[in-house]
Order: sequence, then structure tokens, then C-alpha cells
Amino acid sequence: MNTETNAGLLSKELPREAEKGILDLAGNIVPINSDSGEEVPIAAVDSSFVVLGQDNENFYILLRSALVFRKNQNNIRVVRSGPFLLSSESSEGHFHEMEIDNILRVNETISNGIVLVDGLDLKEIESKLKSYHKNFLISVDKVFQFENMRVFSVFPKYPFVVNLKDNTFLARLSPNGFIVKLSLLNSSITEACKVLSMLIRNDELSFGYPLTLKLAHIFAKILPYEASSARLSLYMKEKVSITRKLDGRKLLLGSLWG
Amino acid sequence: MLALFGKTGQYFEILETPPDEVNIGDFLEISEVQLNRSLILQVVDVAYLSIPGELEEIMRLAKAQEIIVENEGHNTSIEQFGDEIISSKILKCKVRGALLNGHFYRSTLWVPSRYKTTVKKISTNEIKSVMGNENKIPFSIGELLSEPGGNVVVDLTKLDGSLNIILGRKGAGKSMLAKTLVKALVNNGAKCFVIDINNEYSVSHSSRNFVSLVPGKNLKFSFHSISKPVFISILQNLFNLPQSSIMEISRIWDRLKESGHLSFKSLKKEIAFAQINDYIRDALIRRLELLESSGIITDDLPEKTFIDEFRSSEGRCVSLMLRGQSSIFRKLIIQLSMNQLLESLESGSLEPIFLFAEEAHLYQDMSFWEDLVTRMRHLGLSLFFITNEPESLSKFIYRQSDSIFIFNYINDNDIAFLSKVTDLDSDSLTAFISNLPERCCLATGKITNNIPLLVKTEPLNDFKGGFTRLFFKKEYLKF
Repeated sequence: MNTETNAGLLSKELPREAEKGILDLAGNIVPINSDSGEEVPIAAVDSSFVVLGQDNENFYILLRSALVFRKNQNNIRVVRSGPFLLSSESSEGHFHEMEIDNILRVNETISNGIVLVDGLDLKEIESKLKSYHKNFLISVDKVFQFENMRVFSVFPKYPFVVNLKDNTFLARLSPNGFIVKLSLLNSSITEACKVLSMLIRNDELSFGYPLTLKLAHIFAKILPYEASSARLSLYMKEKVSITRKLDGRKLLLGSLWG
Repeated sequence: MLALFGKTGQYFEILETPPDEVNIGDFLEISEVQLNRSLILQVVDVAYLSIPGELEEIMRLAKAQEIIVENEGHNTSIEQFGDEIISSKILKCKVRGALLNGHFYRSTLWVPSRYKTTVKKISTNEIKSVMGNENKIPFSIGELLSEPGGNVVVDLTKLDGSLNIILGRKGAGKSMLAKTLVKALVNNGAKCFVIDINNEYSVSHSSRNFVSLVPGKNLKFSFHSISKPVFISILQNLFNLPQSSIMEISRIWDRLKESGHLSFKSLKKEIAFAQINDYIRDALIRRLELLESSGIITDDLPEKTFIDEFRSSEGRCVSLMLRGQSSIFRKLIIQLSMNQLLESLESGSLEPIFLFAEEAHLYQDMSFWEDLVTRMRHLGLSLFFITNEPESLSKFIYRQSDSIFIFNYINDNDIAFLSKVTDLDSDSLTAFISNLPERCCLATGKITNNIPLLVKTEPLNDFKGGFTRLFFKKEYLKF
């Protein structure tokens, strides 16, 4: 079986992506051997925030994060923090700091494992990471999409990884699963292949997406009713009356076209 | 907290948030204090409030049961409001009346404002006080399902001259309710006649107010008290006597009557020696022997007739014990008893009677009961039909009914049938009766001032029968 596909061929098949730099293949497609890989702990981090509204001075933000730890396949522990109600001058509040703090915390909790984060530029935290924990950090970008939909038929159906530029990889983690874009710090394709085979071995995959990270999304998400409760709490307990962020488009065009 | 949320068709929707807890069957009052008016609603269904993100939260909660979830730094205030929002319910309510300037009206065109009104739960006693109905003879039929300890006190006089129906599945408690009513009526001096097909209305202690009649023993009918049309009708309808034989016996009856020698014995003897077709003779003799074998028809005049049992200054319950009787004899006994009872009521020689008929369709045609329902008010008869088959009673009987007690039914066909024949709307009926626990019933009609009430009936140990005999009784007792 031909397990390697020529990167140049892919660039020819997908010229638009290649032109725009979306598909800048630096190497060959390498199949991932899902049977190999040692037993390692997996952790995932995700945070979410909702802007509840604003008054004359501040934005009011609701923040929540979830850390998920998976050990020995079936042992899953979720640590939920928040929701925290914050007032801030910026609409993103302290979301970013919270996310980074959580990644660092997880990195210190496990060692020789894999830490999954949601679409974060890992260079932002590279300097803060303590190397002695020896964890592999993988940033998973689930919203990555090709303009040319033929990409799914061009790539092989089996689990593979292919190097894009700058420590960025494309991978299919389960047979017929979705293709995801991954970032790994200072990793070659061989290292990436090894780490991903460990991930496949130690985590469940849901449509090609790691379940640990999926659980982190689920438990971090702030639901609409929670935002309503927070607004109610602000009003009832703190006597703060806030207005929702104005949406000019909605105001002008109405809810149907806005 | 309770608040007026909306109105869809005939139903008002009330938002209920914790810690309030309102159940199906409870009553609510929507008041507009400034204008001195309020609506009385009854909860007929409860639904969860539809909120954005509810599905995700439920899935998340389900997932959290499979894994270990630790919460840290959570905001109790937000959590509390979140719990309130996700636990909120919508109470679907039906209008049962309105209170306008202190007067109670069954219906109103007024739709209250969502902004100016307050909603609160009210007790049944409060409803009764707003309706201003006094009980002439107060009597408790049990306690309210939603208000343990809150007795449902009704006016016993509302059963007088009325047609009442008790419905329910086997073992639901309908006989127990009937016995409670019998006991209350007897205690208040009323006369009750019970067609007791399972011998369950005899009391466990000796009481002169409760009389059990055993056919052939202390229940016999004098042949002289049976009119020719009744006797002929028995032979024709119960014993399938052909028309030619009826003509012969009719002629012999008249001949004996004229000669002043009419008796059961002489009738049998005359047939035996009459110059008639042998086939007709055999047919007549066979049927008369069958009648004789029942032991309930006698030429002697009994010391006390069945009707005499009702002639008492005190309350009395006369039950006709029919267990063990064949279908034909059961019909025969009931026909003779009812005939005498109706004759006495018609002539005015008997005080009004409360008749309890269990599974009435088993021993009389529905046309007989329909005729009785038509005449009951003039006769002085109050009727109670007790059955586990709703469709065994005719629509006519349901339409004429004054009060109805319905125990649990889960079969959709039974519920659909009842919603067609009773005054209650199908939604209320389905919500109420399909969820009723054992021994609990929906009482509605004249007895409850047309307000449907969910009642837990009172247990009664005064009567002997009515318990289910079990082969594996010992096994049940182990648990």
C-alpha cells in the first residue's frame, strides 16, 4: 500500500489553497500508526466568556474554564472553574490571561503527557512553560477549513499527519474522521507522528476530534440560561443594571436581516 | 414565585419558579387587587420551561454523572438563579371561576393583565369559602391529594335524588368509596339497597342497620306477590320460553286466578294435567322446576318481606348477596327485588332509597336502567352505578349523571370515551386520571360544586369483603 502521498501533487491538486498559503505543504503525508504509542496522561483546557452587557463605565463579562484530565483510558476528571463575573474596561476582559494560566496549571499537574488546548498560538506561552514537566502541548484548530472542498477526497482516509509550515500540521486522527490543524512546539514530522499516535492510543476520538478536548469545550461553555442567571444576579445582588452591547446591524435591519 | 406567563386557547400558563411547588389538580388565584377581581384556576398539566441551552445543560448533567466533576470558584448567586431558571415550570391551567366584586361566577370574559396581577396558590377551603356554599350534612369523603390532612367535606344531601357514577380499574378503590358513602348515608338515617355481586357489603360487626339478604335463606318471594306480567316476563326473558308456551301458561294462570286457587304448586300441577301439547307441557314443567330449585319463590307468606327490611326509623343498608348465584338466578333475584322495590316506591309506601348497583350491565339491560334514570326523581330513587368498564354504561346515563367519581385509568380508549361523555375537557381528564395513585379519585359534579377535586379516599375496615384473595399471600407478606 502506498502510504505516502507526494506533497507537490497535493499542491497541484489544490492550487488555490497553495497560492493563498493555506496549504503550504512542507513535507510528505505520513501515516500514523495508531497501534503504537505508550500509555500517557492526557489533559485538555478550554475557557469561554460571554459579554453580558455594559454600563457607562464597564463591560460585564462572565468567564468559565474547564480542565479535563484523562488517565488510564476510563479515568476522567473534570475541574470546572467559575463562572466568574467580572467588570472590565475591555470586552474580552481577562479571558486570555485566564486561558494561559489554566494551560500552565495543567502543564504543572501532569508530566510526560499530552496537553490539548483549543486553537491557541503556542508561541505566546512557550517562554512560560517549565520544561521539566516534559509534556507535549498540542493546539487543535477545529475551525480550520479549506476553500476547496475536494481536499477531503485528496487526502487519504487513514490516520495521517502532514507538515505545513512553522510547526503546524494537518492530521486525520481516526479513519474517515475530520481533518484538523494542529500546532506542536518545536516538533518535526517524526515527533509529531509519535505524539499523535500516543494521543490516539490514550484518548477516544469523536469524528477524529479528541474526546478530552471535547469534554473541556462542553464543560467550559457558558449557556444562554447561565448568562441570563448572571444578568439576574448582577441586577438582584449588585443592583447593577446593564444594557446589551448595541448591534447597529440588528438595529437597522431588524432581527430577521440583522 | 408564581407569575402569569401567557394564555393559549382556553388555558392560562403560569410560570412557577422554585421554591414554589404546585401540582396537577391544585388551585391558583390570579388577583387584580385594585379592581377587586380574581380568576380561580386549576392546574391541569405541568411542563418544563423551554429555555435556550436547556438541551446542552441536560446533556452536560448526564455526562457529569459518568465522570468526576469538581467545581471550584463557582458563584453561588449565579448558580442559584441558574437552578431557578432551569427548574422553572409552566403550569397549564383551566379557569374554574371568577370572583368579581366579592361574587363568584362560573365563567368570565375577563382576561387579567400580566403586569398588574399577582398569582398565589389557594387551598380548597378558600375556594369553598369564596363560593359560599354551605354543607347541610357535612361529610368527609377523604383528603385532598395535594393537601394531606385537608379533608374534602361535601354535602351529603347532594347525593339525594341524584345519579352518581363511580368508575375505576379493578382494585382501584371504587367499592371502598361506595362503602364509605353507604356508611355515611346509613349513619344519617338513609335507606340503602346494594346489589352486592361479591358479598362485600356485609359489616364485620353485628349491626341491625346493616342487613344481608341471602337468596333462598332469608330472601324469598311469595308467589302471590308476583304479578302475571312479571312472571311471564321472567319465563320469557330469562328462561327463553317460546311464545306458544307463554300463551298456554297465560291461559292456565287466568283460569286458576279466577277460581281463586292460584299458587306456584297449583300452577305446576295444572300444567301437568292440562290437555296441552306434550312438548309445551315439558317446556313449561322444566322451567317451573328450575324456578322452584332457586328456592326463592314460595307459596308461603314470609314473616318479613324484602321491602319490610327498609321500614325502620333508623338508617339501613340492605345488601343483596349474590356471590355464587348463577347468571340466570342472579338476574331472576334482581328482577324480582327491583320489581317489588319500584312498586313500593311508586305507591309511596316506601321512603326514598339510595340504590347501589355494581356492574349493573351484568344483570339488567341498559334500557331498564335508562328507564329508571328517567323516572328516578319521581320514584324517590338515588342511583349509584359502580363499574370498571366505562363503556358498559350508556351515554344517556353519563349525560344525566349529577356527580362522578373516577379512579385511575391508563387506557387511552377509556379516557377518550370518558372525555366524550363527561363534562370535563379531555386535557383535564387525561392529566388527572391517568396519573392518579391507588385509592385516589377525581370527584366532580354536583357533589363538589362542579369543581374537579383529586381526593384520596379513606380506608374502611367496617366491611367484611372486598379484599383480593391471593394464592401467593405468604410470599407477599415476606416483603
